[in-house]
Amino acid sequence: MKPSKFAYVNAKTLDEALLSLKQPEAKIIAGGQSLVPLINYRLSQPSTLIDISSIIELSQISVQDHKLEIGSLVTHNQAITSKDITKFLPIISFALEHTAHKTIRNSGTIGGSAAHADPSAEWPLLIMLLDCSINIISYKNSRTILAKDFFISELTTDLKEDEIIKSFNFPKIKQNYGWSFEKIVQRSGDFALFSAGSIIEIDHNIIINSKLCVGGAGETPIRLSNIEAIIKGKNIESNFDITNDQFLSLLNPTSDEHASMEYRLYIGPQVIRNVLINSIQNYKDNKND
Amino acid sequence: MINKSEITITVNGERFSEVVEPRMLASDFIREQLKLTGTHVGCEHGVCGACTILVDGKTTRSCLKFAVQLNGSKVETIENFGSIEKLDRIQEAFKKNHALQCGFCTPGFVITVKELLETEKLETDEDIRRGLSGNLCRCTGYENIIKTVKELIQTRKS
Repeated sequence: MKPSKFAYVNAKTLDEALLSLKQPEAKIIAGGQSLVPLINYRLSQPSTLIDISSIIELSQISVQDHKLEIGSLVTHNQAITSKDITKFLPIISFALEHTAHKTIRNSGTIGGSAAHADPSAEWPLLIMLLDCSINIISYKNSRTILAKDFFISELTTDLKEDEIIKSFNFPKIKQNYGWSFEKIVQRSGDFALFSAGSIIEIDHNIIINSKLCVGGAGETPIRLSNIEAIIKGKNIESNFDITNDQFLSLLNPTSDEHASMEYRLYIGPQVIRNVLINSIQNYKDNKND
Repeated sequence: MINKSEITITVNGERFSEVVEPRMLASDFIREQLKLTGTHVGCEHGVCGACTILVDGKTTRSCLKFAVQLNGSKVETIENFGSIEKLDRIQEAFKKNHALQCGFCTPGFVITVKELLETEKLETDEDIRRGLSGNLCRCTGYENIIKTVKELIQTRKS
């Protein structure tokens, strides 16, 4: 099968892209690594493809007082090799090394991955985990939305037809913390059968705040707010006494050709335990440096 | 109404100005319009890696780009990698180690290996396997391809 017919606009500016987006059934293309497979199968049949990949202002990474702002066109490989990202949020560079393959990472972008909203992909998990907010623009106005309101369900976001994602605000983490990311796959580069990431902020051996998020476990990446609440205030040397039922209470995985729901529920608690333990170990390792 | 676009691209050092329909995939453009059939089309949805080419020096799956998107870029395909009389060093190593049987996946592997050798440390077998995981081969069982990459690592320029 070949793609259905469409018109092509190579937008040089955001204004030009937003204006073109007023046409019905128009679609934005950036790296194309999620969209083009859908177009090749005619699961997506846009009337017009608006290429934003040459809008330079969208491919910047900037460090500000309280946040890292990552432009929507930043590719996975650009993020992996960014000194600023590696310095302030090393979990991003680490997790993205597990995204697909180098060739895909040369083209795939953060904006495309977020807009595609695969709940097993790394960027959506990181965006949800790191309390990211997303800057969105349309021809009429602009808005900023929290990750938890952005991801609605599998392959569905709050992005409207006339809107473009401009950039992502990742708040810096002020306290000392440890981090960990783990992903279960059959082959390197696959979408996660199950994945988890965590950030644990620690002061004098006490957990003062934590972020814990899982992928492949439901319609969107899921923050495990119940576990975050359980471990808050605990000493890092203490036994957390979290039961499998507590680990699983917010998860809602489905079965597909890659893994059954039962399998995901079976490995889930182990992967979540691992990232908690490894985050604390990561904190200790960094402290001793 | 569908607009056709004129694109100018450099392929293997040669400049081409061509008119393309926007929906034409780069892989089809290279094979059917430029008649460079060394780029192979396997799955057509970015899974098998057979159609891998270099765009401005970076590996790209040509089935996941439209020809119009290549306007102004420098493309390198397997045809630029040596001739039957004188193979490129990566091709020579594939041949020597029997790292191909039917050869369908080989253009994609050779181009992927070129980028890996130039950009990755490849310290362990696991690094090599991970680097090659985006390219599928149904003949070799991969062992001889990994052996080939290990040999190429020994002789690469630092």
